[in-house]
This record gives sequence, structure tokens and C-alpha cells, in this order.
Amino acid sequence: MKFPFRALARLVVFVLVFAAIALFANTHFIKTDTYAALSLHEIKARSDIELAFVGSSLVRDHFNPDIISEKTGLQAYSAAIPGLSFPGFLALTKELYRTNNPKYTVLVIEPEDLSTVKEDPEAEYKLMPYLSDLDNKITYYLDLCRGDGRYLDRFFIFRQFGPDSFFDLYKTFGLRYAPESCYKRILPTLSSELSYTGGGFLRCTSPGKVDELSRESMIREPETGYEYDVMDYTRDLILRYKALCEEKGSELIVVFFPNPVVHALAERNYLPYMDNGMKFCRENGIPCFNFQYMKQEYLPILDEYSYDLYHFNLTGANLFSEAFSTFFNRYTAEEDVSDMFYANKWEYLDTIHQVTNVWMTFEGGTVTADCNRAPHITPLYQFVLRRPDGSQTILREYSPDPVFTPGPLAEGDVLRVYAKPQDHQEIPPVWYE
Amino acid sequence: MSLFTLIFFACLCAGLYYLCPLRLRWVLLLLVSYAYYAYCGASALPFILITTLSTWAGALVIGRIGAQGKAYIKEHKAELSADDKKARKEAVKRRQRIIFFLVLLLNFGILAVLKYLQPLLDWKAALTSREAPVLNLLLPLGISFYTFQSMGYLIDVYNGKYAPEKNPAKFALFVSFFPQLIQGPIARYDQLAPQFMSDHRFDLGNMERGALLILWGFFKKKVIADRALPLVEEVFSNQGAYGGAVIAVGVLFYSLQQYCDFSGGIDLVTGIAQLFGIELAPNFKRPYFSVSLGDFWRRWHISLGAWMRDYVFYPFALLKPMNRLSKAAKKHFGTAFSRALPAALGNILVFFLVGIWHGAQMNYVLWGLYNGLILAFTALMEPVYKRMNEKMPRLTSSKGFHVFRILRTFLVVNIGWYFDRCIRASDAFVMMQKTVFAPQFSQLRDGALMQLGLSTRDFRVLFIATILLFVVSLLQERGVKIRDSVMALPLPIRWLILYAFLFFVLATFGGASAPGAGFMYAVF
Repeated sequence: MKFPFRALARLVVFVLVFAAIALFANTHFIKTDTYAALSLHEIKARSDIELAFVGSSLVRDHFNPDIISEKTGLQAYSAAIPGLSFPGFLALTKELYRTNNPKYTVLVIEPEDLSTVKEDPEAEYKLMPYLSDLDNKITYYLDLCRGDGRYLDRFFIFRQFGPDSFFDLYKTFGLRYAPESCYKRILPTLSSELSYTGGGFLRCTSPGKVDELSRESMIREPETGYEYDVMDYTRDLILRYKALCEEKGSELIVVFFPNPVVHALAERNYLPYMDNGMKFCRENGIPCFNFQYMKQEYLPILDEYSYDLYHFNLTGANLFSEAFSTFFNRYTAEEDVSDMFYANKWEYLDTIHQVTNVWMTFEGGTVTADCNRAPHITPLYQFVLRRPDGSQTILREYSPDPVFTPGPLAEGDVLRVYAKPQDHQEIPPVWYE
Repeated sequence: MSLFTLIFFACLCAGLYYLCPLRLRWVLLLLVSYAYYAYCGASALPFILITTLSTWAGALVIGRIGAQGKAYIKEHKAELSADDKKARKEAVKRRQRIIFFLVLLLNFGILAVLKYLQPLLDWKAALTSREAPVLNLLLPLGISFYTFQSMGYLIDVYNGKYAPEKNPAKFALFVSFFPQLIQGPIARYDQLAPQFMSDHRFDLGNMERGALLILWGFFKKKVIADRALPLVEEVFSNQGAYGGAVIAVGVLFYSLQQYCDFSGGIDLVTGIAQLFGIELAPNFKRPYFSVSLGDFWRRWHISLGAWMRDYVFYPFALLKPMNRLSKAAKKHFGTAFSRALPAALGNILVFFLVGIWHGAQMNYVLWGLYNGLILAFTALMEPVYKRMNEKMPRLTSSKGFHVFRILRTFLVVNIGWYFDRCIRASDAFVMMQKTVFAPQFSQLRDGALMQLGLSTRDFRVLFIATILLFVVSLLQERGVKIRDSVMALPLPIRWLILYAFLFFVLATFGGASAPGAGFMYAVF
């Protein structure tokens, strides 16, 4: 049989044109994250970045480059895409290195980055369209798919993030080809609590509400028995990141970002992943610092500045930026910075005296209360009856016993539990109903 | 196996197929078919093997008995009287019949046990208010399809239509050819088997035609059927919450979803078969353009209808008792009625069986009887229709009347879908009663439609896709061969159309899949 060269050649051409159209659709027929687009345009336009912060929204919302530049004397930039993880960190850093030669690259991570590293597809659609090199795009795509196996979904990203309206299309084209003027025009449609201030930083003026959110959603995870070690795939990505920085001559510093205390108490993997991540980095000669363990005299209690369970508002971000600058100046002056951090998780947990949130489980007519607290804390529980008019009747005074049988409740009445630490009764109680 | 995996698997196999030496290609097809079946559930393999081997051996024995009988008569032609020959033939037929019924019994027995035993026990338990034992019987993928296909072959061999296949592997390929395993079509041996042995050279045009059909099937299945499914599920599983108007919307969506799921799947497997140069029998011919229920069933699941016609309807209508009944009816009701009576009863029987083929639940039985009774009534009323046509030729040949007949048929079919889709027959009656007497049209305006599991985007996509489906179907109905027309266009325009459609499908496919390899009919 004659080999069908002609047919195969036509098939190859068809597939190549198809791939080209898919790439075009992936960059033009999708929604666009306004702030990611602005930040990536700025990265491409700048060549003066000396101190680059790379990461997810943790970087975008918290590393205020104005403050850090002023305090450190280095031109800082927060290169960030919400939801990004290691595959994206690599791709974004390569993009940043195209026009910039930062002296320091600070990679900001959180425990989730060390586990399965299934980067949120939301991050891909925000970053991929703005990557300049095809090589970088392909490597990023393959890294992502190696993590979660979603080859088709990630290749046809326009499927999941296609425009819902002509406004989406307008925004995509506008932010791509005339970002500044487009941003001005669409500004009235954006949240008044957020504003892009340049340098990759997003100002957020939302009030803190972490207590409300943790009351609604955070309960302590059950013991899994799982060994929270850094996965091989992640190890490989971290080492590739180190090699990338070395190739560029930029000094890499890895930073674990501090989240509200409730994470440390409620999530089984939270502190172990950080500890193992630190261990891995140190074994491989990567300077690594866990800001969750930063002492309170350097980084004051931050929960009240958190507008959600992961992010600080502007006040918190500025406080953090100042604390980071202090650390950075001491570190680059080759001073010993170990006094700024607790040595390990036990030392850290010993400093947490508050009960972060409380909840109840019902079985039959009995209520069992439980709460998130450090191991050395003994919680006290108080049960009260709340009427529709807001008045309260104490059903049982504070006691270490979490079990209570309230009896039948009248319609409209609710049972509320308060919890506070036995040895620190001056701390206001938390509640749940 | 997901749809993507199936398509990828098919493309890979097609590549291997054309690299394989010609004489070994059917062996490759057999191997990949069994690999596919094992991948879908290795525990189902013994069942398809039993059906294959028993049918092959049974048909071979039937053929040999017949051949030996013929040879004997030929050899002893001079010595045998006419009565001897007749007696010999009858003896041969009797021996063949024993084998024939044994194989039929075995295979339909397996099907009956696996498919109907649990529902029957559930039924019995419901009647006696006891708890039914849970048998956890396995229902092999496509069992109804390959059983009917194999039994069709056996009947044909028994009737002497063609000689039995001697090679068990070749017969195994006829039973297990992987594209049609999922949901048919139910192929005929003399139509399909010779194609496996034909010399299929690589033909780019053929591949493109196959790929187009695969894409069209994918569009129907993934863009329309799967997207409409959540609404159908919601309305039929929670019918108490909705008024008749919303229920009617649910039924309309069901008719769209079911058609696109089944015919889309058939297009897909027909396209896959075309990649190997094999033409499967058509199973759909734009059924919603039918002008009568009879016409509908000649366009919907054609291969099952043809199987029932050839192996149930005609044998039943030509039975001696039917002949006697027809003669008796002639005395009392006249010639026209007596002629139509066997067909009417045959239709009732056929659709009763078609209903049961779908499942042992009462809703399927009622759905079958509903169709059978309407067709029986139509058969008996045929002379009346004929006279009407003769008296009002201008009206009955007008386009308006044609459209009226299409809409009337669509309505009749949709009433049947109430029974087909409701799990409990009583729900179907309640839903119909609501549709007519408690429509609650306000629910169409108060946002209830947006609470049925579909977003505004879903409705938009469904609207555009359905319009596209309708336009293409209308053109096909008017005799336009869409694929041929596209293939005849200059390459750049052809590719432009293809890319546009491909990206439309890629951008819009989604939704939930029905259980069983993603196709509704895979579980029948």
C-alpha cells in the first residue's frame, strides 16, 4: 500500500492551524482579571525591579511595594496572580526575568502549595494569555497538567472561562491592547473597596471580618494520620525555581505567609507542611522563613486586619510590609534574624492564648461544644438561650464540660454557646449558635 | 469509558488498522473490540462470550443438520418418494428447531435473568408489601443489543437466509464490533460481516466523512443532550413542585435530550465505524419530521424496528391462528377490517415487547402499549383515512396539512414520553393531568425556569444548538446531503466551516452525562 504522505501532511496542517486558533481563543475569547492584566502589563513595561515578590494573591494583597521600596531602598514589585502555585510561579518569574534583573526574588508560598499543587485553573486563564514566550507557555501548560492530568481542560481554557457578555470581550481586548485607558473606563464597574496602585499591589479597604467567617466555616479537621511531607512533584518544582533564580543571578528567599491564627489551630496540615517545607528548603540551600512564626513584637496580631480567612486589608498589609522590610533589612545586612521568629510550632502555639472559634454538634437532645485552641488551653463553655428580641438567658454558666442538655426550645429561640480560655478570661469569648 | 477516551481509542485503532496487513485487519478489530469491552467491565466478558459461542455453535449445528438433510435427499433422490422427502425434511426441521429454541432460550434467558429478574422481584415485593431481595446482578454493557443481533443471525440461519459462519473468531467480531456495542445499531450479519473482510484502503475522504459524523454526534450528545439533562432530571424527579406548563417544558426538553443522546451516539459510532471503512446501518432518519406514529417508528431506532418487524411482526401476523382470526373477522366486520386486524394485533405485540425491551417497569409496558394501541387503531382506521384523502385531495396534499401532521405526530410522541421517562407509571398520569388541567403558566414567568438546573448561558447555548440541529435536519429532510456538500467545498472554506463548528462545540459542550458510558441507551 502506498503510504498516505499527502493525507498525513494535510492532517498535520489541520492540527497545527487548530492549535493556533485554540491559542488565539485562549488569549482573546476569555474573560480577563483586571488586576492581573494591569500587573502583567506593568511587569512587561518595567526593567527596574530590584526586589521581586512572586506569589498568589498573598503577594498582590500584602506586599505594598511603596512601603517596602522606601524602607529597603530597593525598587520592589509584587508579581502575583490569585490562585497561582509552583507551575505558575515558574512561568510568572520567567516572564518577569525577560525585562528585569532583580537582585532578590522572594517567593511567597503557603502550605497548600506544598501538597498536591493542583493549581487553580482560574490562575491559568489569568496568567497564560500574558506569557510572551511560546516555550514558557508550553512548559507552564505541561507542568500544570503533570499536576492534575487535566490536559484537555487546560488546553481549551476558553471553554471554562469564555466571555459571558460583550462587556467581557470588550474588557479582554481593552486590557490587552490599551490597559490604562480601558481600566479608567471600567473603573466604575469595579468594587470601590479595591484599587490597583501600581507595583502589582492591590489596595483593599474592606473591614476585617475574620471572626465572623471563622465562626461560620472553620471547624477543626479530624486527625488524618497522613504524613505531611513535601511531594516529589513539588520538590522538583522548588528545585527548578531555585535553578531559574541562580541562572538569572537573583538571590532567592522563600517566605511562608502568615494566615489568621485559626488556620494554624484548625487545619491538620497547616503547620506540618510549613515545617517540612522549611526543612526541605534548608536542606537544599534555599533561605526560607516562616512568617507564621514571626514574634508578635515584630508582627502584631493580624486577625483583626483580615478581610477574609486568607487576606489582610490595607491596614494589615501595610503593617506586614513594614515588618517584612525590617526583617529584610536585617537579613540582607547579614544579621541573625532568628530572634524575630519562634523556633518551632510548640513555641509558637504556646503564645496563642485565645480560643479562635467554637461550634456545637447535636445528638438526640444533647449538645456537645468544641472549639479551636492551642493544646495548652482549657476552654470554658457557657450556654445561653437567645430570644428573637435579642435578650439572653444563661442556661449554664462557664464550665470545662462541653456537654449540655438544653431541653426543648420555643419557636424562634436559639441556643448559643460562648467559649473562652480558662487561664485568660480577660480575652473576649467567641460564640456560635 | 468516557466519550473522549472512546474517540481517542477509535482514532488510535484506526491508525493501527491501516498499518496492519490487510488479511489481519479483522483480527485486529476483534482484539480491540474485546479490549474495549474488557476495559468497560471485564466481569461482563463471560456473558458476551456465552452468547457468541452458543449462537455460533447453534447456527453451525443448524446449518449442518440442514446441509446433511439436503445432501441425503440429493444422494437418495431416486429411492425416496415425495412423502419420504417431505418426512425427511420435517425431521430435519424438527432437529433444527430443537437446537434453535435451545439457543434462543439460553440467550434470551440470560437477558431476562440479568435484566428483568430484579424488577420482577421488586414488583412482587411491592404487591406483597415485603422487602425485595437485592440480587446485585450485573448488566453487561449493550447486552440487549448484542443479544438481539446474535439472535437475528440465528433466526436467519434457521430460516436458511444464509449459511452459518464457520469461523468462531469472525462471528465473535460480528457480535462484538466495538463501536456498535454501546447502543447499536442492531446489525444484520449479511450486511455487516462481509465488510470486515473487505479490502479497505486508506481513504482520506472517508476518514474526513467519518470525522465529520463523529463531530456531529459529539455535538448532539455533549452540547445538546448533556446540557439539557439537568432540567429533565429536575422536572421528572421533582414533578410535584411544578405546574403543568413547566412539566410540558420538561417533556419537550426530554424529547430533545433523548433524541440527541441516542441519535448523537449513533452518529458517533457510525462515524467511528467509517474510520475503518465500515458502514453501519442507519438508525435514525429525522424522526421528529414524521407525519404519523407509524412513520415515526420507521425513523426512530430503525434497526430495532426492523428487527421486530422481521422476527416478531411478520411471523406473528402470518401465524395460522391469525389467519383464522382474520377470516372470522371478515364475516362480521368486512374485508378491510379483517385485513388490518393481524397488523393491528401485531403492532400491539411488537410495542409491548419494545416496551419490555426498555425495561420491566410498568411505565415502559404502558409506553409500549400506548404506541401499540395507537398504531393498531391507525391500522384499523386506514380505510377511513384513505377515503378522506380521496375526498379532500387539495387539503391533504397541502403543505399546511403536512405541517399539521408533523405537529400532531410530535404531540402524540411526546405524550408517550411521559410514560417513558417517569419511573413510576402513576407519576406519568399525574404529570399529564397537571399539564392539561393545572398548567400554572405563571411559573414560566416567575423565574421558576431558572431554577431547573440550567443557567441563562445553558438556555442560550441550547437555543442556538437546537436551531442549528433543526436547520441541518430540515435540509437533510429536503434531500440535501450535508456532509457531501461540505466535502465538495474548496479546502479553505471546508476547513473554515469545520473550525468554526469545532470551536463552537468545544466552547459549548458540557453538562451532566447519563449513566452507563454516558449514553442513555447503553443501560438498556
